[in-house]
Amino acid sequence: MIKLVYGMLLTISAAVLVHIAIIFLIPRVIEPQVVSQLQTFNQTGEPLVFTGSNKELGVSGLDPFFQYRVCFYDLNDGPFLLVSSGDVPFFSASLMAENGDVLFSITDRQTISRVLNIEVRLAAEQQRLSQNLDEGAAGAGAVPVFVPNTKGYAVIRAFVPDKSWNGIADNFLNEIICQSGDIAS
Amino acid sequence: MNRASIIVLALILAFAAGTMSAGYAVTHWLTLASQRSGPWQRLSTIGQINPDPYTQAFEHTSTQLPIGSAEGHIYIASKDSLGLNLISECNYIIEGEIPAARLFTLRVETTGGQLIVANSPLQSALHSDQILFTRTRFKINVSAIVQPDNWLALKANGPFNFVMTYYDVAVINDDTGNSTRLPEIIKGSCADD
Repeated sequence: MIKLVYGMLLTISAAVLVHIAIIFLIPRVIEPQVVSQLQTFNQTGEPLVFTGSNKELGVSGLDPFFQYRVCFYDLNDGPFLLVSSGDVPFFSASLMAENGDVLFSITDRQTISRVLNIEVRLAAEQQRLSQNLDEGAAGAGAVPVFVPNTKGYAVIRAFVPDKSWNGIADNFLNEIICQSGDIAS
Repeated sequence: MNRASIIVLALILAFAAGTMSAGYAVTHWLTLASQRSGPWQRLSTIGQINPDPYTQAFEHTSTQLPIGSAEGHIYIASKDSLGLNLISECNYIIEGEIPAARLFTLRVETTGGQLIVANSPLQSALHSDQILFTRTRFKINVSAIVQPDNWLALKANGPFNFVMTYYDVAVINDDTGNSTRLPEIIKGSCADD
């Protein structure tokens, strides 16, 4: 009887440890699936634009009434600028860390004149830039966003109410400036 | 059975149980951790900074593209308002108050999260600009057979999920979405009735 109780206690406590170890190991061992899926299709150098009905990407949770643009950035190359032009009935944008955490999100209503104009920099630069305001001026009206990690990606969503908007949304997304590096140049 | 045998057996069982429970928790995290509102579920921790370890594990193994809380909220229903699984053999009515969002969309997905598309020109997804509203409410008939008023063509085969996405929710609600009112899902007639 004592052996049975001993065996059960050992099993339960070891199972809890294995469970916790696996949960904590997954984010360290497995690359986020959605990131690796998107990176697979980001090799061509062309803007990564796709519809919400796209099944080839292997990404789920897409809305069929939206088109998407994904831009990867590396702040080691310098600040990242995200600027839109053109018009769609609704758009939104979010910045994701490489591990999939959403760092920042915004809709067109929260922008100035419905123009997306975001400058992404490392959080470590925030104090230095606040002391040297001239250095931080990337473009007129750019919203500074400070993020903790150097690598990540931006997702821009454009609403497509019906097929007649397909071309407009496609142009809007393709013409978005997703630029890393020296912004002044 | 000697002590060494008990330890070996216990460790083998523990490894199996720990692995299976971790796998179950990660794959069913959407159900386990979601905020519930009637038949609708929202995994509120997805897409947030510094999520808990279970959400991190889910995010790393899922192919779901996250959405920022300022952009909108995604709600998923796999059951009707009485708690019965959604099945393609039945008609459903989605009815409620006009959502407090700038824009919303409704689509049908497989239980595995794949979009279900009806044969063109039928629509198995609707957005708020396509829906007829009364003064404060809306009603959508979901059926494989043509319906009057707002109709969502159901092309599913077997169990399915409804997915509603509210965009620009924070304009009207608090940012958490806790004050968002979601519609009822009412089961109608079924093919074998």
